[in-house]
Amino acid sequence: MSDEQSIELVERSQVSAKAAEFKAGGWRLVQISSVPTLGGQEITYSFDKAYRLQSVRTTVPNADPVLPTITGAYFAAFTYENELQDLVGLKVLGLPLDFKGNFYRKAMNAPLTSSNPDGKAG
Amino acid sequence: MGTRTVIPFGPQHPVLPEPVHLDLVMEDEKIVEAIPSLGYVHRGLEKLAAKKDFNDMVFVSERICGICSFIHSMAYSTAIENIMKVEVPERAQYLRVMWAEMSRVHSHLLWLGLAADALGYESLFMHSWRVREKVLDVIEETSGGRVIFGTCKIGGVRRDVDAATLDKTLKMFDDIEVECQEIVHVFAGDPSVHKRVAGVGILSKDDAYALGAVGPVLRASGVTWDARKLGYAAYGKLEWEPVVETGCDVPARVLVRAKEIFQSIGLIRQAIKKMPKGPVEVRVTGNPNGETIMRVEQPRGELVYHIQANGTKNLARFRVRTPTFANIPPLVKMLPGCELADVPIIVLSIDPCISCTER
Amino acid sequence: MKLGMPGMVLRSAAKKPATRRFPAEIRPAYSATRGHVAMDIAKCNFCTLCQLRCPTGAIVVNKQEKTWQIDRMRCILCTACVGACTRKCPTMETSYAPPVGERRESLVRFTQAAVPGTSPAGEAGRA
Repeated sequence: MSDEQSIELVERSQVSAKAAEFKAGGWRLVQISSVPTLGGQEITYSFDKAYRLQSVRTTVPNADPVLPTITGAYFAAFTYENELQDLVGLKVLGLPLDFKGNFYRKAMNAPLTSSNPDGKAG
Repeated sequence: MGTRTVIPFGPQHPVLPEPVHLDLVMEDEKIVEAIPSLGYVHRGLEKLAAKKDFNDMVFVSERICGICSFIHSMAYSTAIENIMKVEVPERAQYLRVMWAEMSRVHSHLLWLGLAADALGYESLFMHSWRVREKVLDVIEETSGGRVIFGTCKIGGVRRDVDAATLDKTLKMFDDIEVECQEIVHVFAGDPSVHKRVAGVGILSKDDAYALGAVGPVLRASGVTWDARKLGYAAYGKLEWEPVVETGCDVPARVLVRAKEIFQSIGLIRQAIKKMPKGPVEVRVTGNPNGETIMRVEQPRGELVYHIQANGTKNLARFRVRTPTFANIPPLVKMLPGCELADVPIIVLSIDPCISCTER
Repeated sequence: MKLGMPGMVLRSAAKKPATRRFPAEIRPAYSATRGHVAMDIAKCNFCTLCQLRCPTGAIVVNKQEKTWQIDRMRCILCTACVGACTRKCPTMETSYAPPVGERRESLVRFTQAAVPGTSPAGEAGRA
């Protein structure tokens, strides 16, 4: 694969500033994804420029599941951030279009958190 | 300023095969704002990865989308192969390209038919689907399934195609190409199509890029970006250039998809002619351990698989971002300023595939 | 020849229909077509390998009762069982399984005769 990939770790509070930096550099937002870890979630923001993929990763502890929004730089991030609220149970602060947990109709709240490994509804 | 009215569009609407809802804020006949609402068909397939063996997840990933099924299984298999550092035999790489491009031809013909249907051009819809049926026949003859190919697996492909069938495939695509030319000629030259869609659904180049549009929507706005240029499978060894149009409107998106049909037929020919002899799969043992972000080009645009494996038979995270998901914000941008009557064709112009969006 | 829609319509009018009058006229299946899984129960030694490999859990093998059961509605025709079997008992046929009216009709059970080969293998839908 010629697909170059690299991941940079940042603090949760720096996410918005980092996104603004990428935006100024002419990068395109590819995706935001989450990976459950012990006691928290790893949030990965991926950006693309001229077929290069650069990711930024931050961790959010389950005890304080709050994440700043990057919609200031990338308006399109509202879909991903609503998805995070719905599937992982984070609270994204400052969303311009907040579906308040109704982005997906689902049988249970936050199905993709590590505290709910078997995925049983209810 | 006139009175504002909110008109709900969807989730059930004649033009939509799948449920997506838009709240259209109207001023007379003009749209001032569109608020999307998804989630009617959320299936929780990402969660299923915690229960299924990673080898069996190929079948699940193939069923995320009913149209680009093969490309999903190819993306998933390639992602796992990257993690496990498996070298896939070359013949399998070319077969993957062949099947992926067949799936693109049939998807674009399906879309052209749906677009004609949304314009009220029923006979063009019927003719597009008549040709698509021939593509499905070729798919069935080479892979065994009409929509779900079921041929991709981790480490290669599950079945080889003999030389006689490949020859027949080439001949079939010669016929299909001639018939596609006729259909595309109608789309490009028919005055009734032109009058209906010209200048509708404008998405400027800057907006398309900034809002993260992918696939034909991005390329119709003049941005050269095609994930196949990353060179996965055998795409790096074939000669082709991404189709780019600068119209930024619905006819530009029609043209991009129409030209991609011929590009795909060309890629199928190249793949079959360059296909080396040899094995089509390697044995894969052990469990994956590692992480990758895999990007492939679907008929609808860039598809992203983020897979994290932890050395067990279940994946730690199986995350899929489908092209329609990325094309929802551009759609919201396209709608304001449009007439209510143009909403169906604009929504259709991103080729929405809602079930795969929500997984 | 590019005559646009009038040309396409005229040519279609002169040709025979693009569709078939199903079920009076059935398209012959391709040799690659995955139709349904057939089972040669006489050769089976009930090793349960096919049951283990089946990604959807459609196959249930019972060693005591010498039965092999497939749920046609669960089966996704992936050919995993065909590839897994060392005795080549399950095979992929090109004809499709008949439609069923109720969910339980899709369960098909094969029972091995007491002495293999003495009587034809039975196929019966479970009630």
